[in-house]
Amino acid sequence: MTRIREDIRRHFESEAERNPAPEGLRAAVVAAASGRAVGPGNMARVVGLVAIVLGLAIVAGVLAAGAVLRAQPTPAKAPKLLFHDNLAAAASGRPSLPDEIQYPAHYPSLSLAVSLPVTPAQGTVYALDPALAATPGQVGRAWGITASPTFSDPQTTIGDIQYFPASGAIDYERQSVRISGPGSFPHAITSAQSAIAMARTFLVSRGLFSQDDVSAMRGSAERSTAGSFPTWMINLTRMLRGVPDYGSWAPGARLQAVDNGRIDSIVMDHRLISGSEAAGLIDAAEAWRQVRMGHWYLSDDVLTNTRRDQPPFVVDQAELCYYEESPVTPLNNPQKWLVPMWCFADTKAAPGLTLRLYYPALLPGSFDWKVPSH
Amino acid sequence: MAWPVSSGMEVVMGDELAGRAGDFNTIVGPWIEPGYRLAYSMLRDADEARDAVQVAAVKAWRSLGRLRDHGTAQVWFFGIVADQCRSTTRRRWSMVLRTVSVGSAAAGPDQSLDVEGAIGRLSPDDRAILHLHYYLDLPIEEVARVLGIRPPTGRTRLYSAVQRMRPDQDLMEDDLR
Repeated sequence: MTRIREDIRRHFESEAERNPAPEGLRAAVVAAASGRAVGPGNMARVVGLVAIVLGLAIVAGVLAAGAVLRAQPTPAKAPKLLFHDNLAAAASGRPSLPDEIQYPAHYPSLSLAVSLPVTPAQGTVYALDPALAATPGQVGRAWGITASPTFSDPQTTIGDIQYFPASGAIDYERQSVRISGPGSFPHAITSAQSAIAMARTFLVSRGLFSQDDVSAMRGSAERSTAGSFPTWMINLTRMLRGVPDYGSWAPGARLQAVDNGRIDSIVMDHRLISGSEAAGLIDAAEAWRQVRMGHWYLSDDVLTNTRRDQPPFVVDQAELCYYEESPVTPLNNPQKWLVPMWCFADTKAAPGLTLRLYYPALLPGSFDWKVPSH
Repeated sequence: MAWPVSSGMEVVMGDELAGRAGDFNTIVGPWIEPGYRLAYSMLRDADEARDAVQVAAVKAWRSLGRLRDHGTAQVWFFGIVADQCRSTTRRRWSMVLRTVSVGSAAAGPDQSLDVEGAIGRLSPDDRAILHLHYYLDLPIEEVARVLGIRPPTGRTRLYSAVQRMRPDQDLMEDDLR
């Protein structure tokens, strides 16, 4: 065993020698963090993504053998709905948006490759209330887990579940095929449609969403055959009265499952809604004008953090949407409202990566926010 | 020193900014390169690792006021780096196959262990545990704090990670120390 320990240590020593920290990293990072000038960097991120896919494909190939799945513990009876939205109740208070922590980014080249959508007569603003979220004990019981939850802001650990009560977010990854994980579908996955349908049923069976919620969700599924152990990536996007809800995590749910129906991970996000109110909207053209002036509220991501100027951003999808911030990063001013946004997306920003720029769609003066200047 | 938590788009100018940057450099600066190596171990991509550390540093800058004990800056900053690495893999979720088990890939009893390959097949969190405990010599309690898990869970995950590298060996509790 000592040898393994030493081997592991030597591996990381060797890794550090082969991949030393870039020269001047500390100074550049400190400068960037404090908002000062950042030196030029490279743009090899996309290449890095491809490398990750290839590397992990090897992993997937290895997973195929030796999988002995223990019986999945299931709750004694179907749990009650854990998360209750009150969509119809009247919201109280003045809508607002938190100041988002963003890496400094500027898009010198923004262009439209799609027609802008028609602006609805009215939109809807939703008030959020984390008090409506399930307790950690309820979440654990939904999976038959009786371990005592431990809280460490902002998440609670329940067995292998990471639960973020303030945002209704759950991250549950099977740690080994030898132990139970998020669960299994009742049948093998035979198609994208079957994967999506079983994922919807699974979410309802665990009390994570109502049947109405999952029926409204926009579903997609892809079967990755990069390795010899094909894996289904199932994405269910939360919809609020027909408007998609996006975010840096997974408003709605994302499941990863293998052909035989074993679910290896589930990540979900379900901000609890305590009420709603109708609101007037600006049109998409005005939002686009503001975005072009650098006043976009936030972006999903940036292609490079090593310089402020980003590659050309070509909008090939424009729509009304909502945005849920990450439950992981503690913020000084957490999100209290779901405000309709005009979303301008570059769905081909990088292989498999969609970038969106968001601009609030509410009429000026009807909500509180600090207009950014990127 | 600890300054009030900044909120939102607060603008800090001139000498005050320079002072903050100096403090930040003193408190967090020493952990940036180790943070990069942690990020590299988790993400296995130099550009991704550098991006993760830069974003983590921005977040650390904005929330430095929450750090009451500067002696814990290493664990605190590593925790932000680890979160950012997880976020990176989640954002590129459609491209990432999470690891579950690598039992069959490890060497047999009479074979030498392919450490490089075995570690490469582990999940980012498993690699982080090995990196923090065996390379940086952090005790399990601090490893657990970095990863936002309980110490017993940290010990279990460390055991599992090593076991996945070498399932043919029965590990004893003492082996993990």
